[in-house]
Amino acid sequence: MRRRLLTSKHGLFLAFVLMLVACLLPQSLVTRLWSAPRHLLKLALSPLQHPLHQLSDQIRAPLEPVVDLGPALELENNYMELMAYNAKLQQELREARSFIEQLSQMRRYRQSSEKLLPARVTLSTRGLEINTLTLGVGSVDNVSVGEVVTTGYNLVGRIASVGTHTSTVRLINTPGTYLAVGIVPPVNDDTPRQALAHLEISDDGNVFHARGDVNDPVKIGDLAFLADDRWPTSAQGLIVGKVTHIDPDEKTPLLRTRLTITPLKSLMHLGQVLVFVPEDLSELRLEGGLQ
Amino acid sequence: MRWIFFLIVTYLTLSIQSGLSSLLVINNDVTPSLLLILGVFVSVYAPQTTTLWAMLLLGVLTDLMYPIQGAGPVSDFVLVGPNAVGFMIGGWAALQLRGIFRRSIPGIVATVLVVCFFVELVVVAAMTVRGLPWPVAQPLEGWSAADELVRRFWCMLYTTLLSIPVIYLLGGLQRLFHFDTSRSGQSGYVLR
Repeated sequence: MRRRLLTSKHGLFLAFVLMLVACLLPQSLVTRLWSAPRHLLKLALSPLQHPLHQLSDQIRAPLEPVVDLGPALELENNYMELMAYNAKLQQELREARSFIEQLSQMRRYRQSSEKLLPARVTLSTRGLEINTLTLGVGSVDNVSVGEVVTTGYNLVGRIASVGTHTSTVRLINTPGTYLAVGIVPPVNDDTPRQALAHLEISDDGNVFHARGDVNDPVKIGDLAFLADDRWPTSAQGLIVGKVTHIDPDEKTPLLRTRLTITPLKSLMHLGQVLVFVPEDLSELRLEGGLQ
Repeated sequence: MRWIFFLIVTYLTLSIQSGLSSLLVINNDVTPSLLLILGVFVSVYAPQTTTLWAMLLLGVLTDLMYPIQGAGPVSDFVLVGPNAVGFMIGGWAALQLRGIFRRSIPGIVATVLVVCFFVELVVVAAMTVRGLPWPVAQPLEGWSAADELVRRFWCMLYTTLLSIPVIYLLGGLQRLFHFDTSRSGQSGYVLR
């Protein structure tokens, strides 16, 4: 009777050794080796994952920030101030519309630009050291690594890896993230003010912290927008969050402050995002030809 | 074991584990491993070789699901191996425990605890070995073995706790798995 050369136990031993070796492969090789199976798996899981993810978000919605309106007597004053702001905003809206019209005209003459690609979020993952979103768009939609992802004007992150029909986004709340931002008031007040800060994500990944100077013109409610040379031009000016706390620095309370900046939207509970992808040049030429 | 049914259950379990991750997560980073519970359930009933193949598959799927921060500014990658090896060693541990624990829900839950311990320890060891000066010297960005051990300890307890209802549910599907239960007195678990 002939003995089989490769039994199931031999196969298991071989697989075990291969997995041990796979643990030690360098990153470049691992990326090439496992990228396709990884995105294939995500694609296969997405039909069931997406409704479960939405259900999960409905059951455990992100906590809304508690707004302290202060004593009741101040409400009337606040109301009057807000009415004044409203009138001012109406004026700014008219000016902004005019500016948008000018930008639209400029864009028609540009040879290349970026377009916003809507993408469905199929999964949000808190991984070993990195927080990611899985999107239902991939290389067939012109998505590539490094592209900027937003939700409205809020910065979400950058594309970290791309499969054929799926891609993953590395979120800005990943531990170890540092961002350079400018901090400005949400509306143009009488005295224009701006401060620069370097944000560091907190341990729980929910807020950013920055150290400021006590003389910095920063107030609670100010917006922090990205002003970081390491990011693409299209990401500059996108909102990172809002100043929610200004506390004295623990070590130098008389000189420095500790700012807390909270993202306006919970990054782990997004349903849809926008990806800045390069516009197809052939489409642009076709548009130009038609005009 | 009927592999088709096992693959369907694995698909559903993986979808639930990842799809409901934001619901199941505690304190932002403590998550249960439903795949591990499924693996232990199979380990208790299936033959030795089948158990280890199933654990290998579940380990590879776990590795593929969770990316690791890469060396570049935005890149990430999946490292297949740590969980695969961990699950296989965990499967081997579960096979050794068959003679110790009964096939009852408390017995299987105790097995989950022990297997989870082995898996988490092997994963942390494998990740740490990558950072040693020899042979590859490719440390993971921001990796801290101590932090991971603490986090994974809580994950282990959470997985063990969650295994009680999951094992109960899987017990209802046991007949569909077509396990070989030829050993006397070992057919099905008993509720005690």
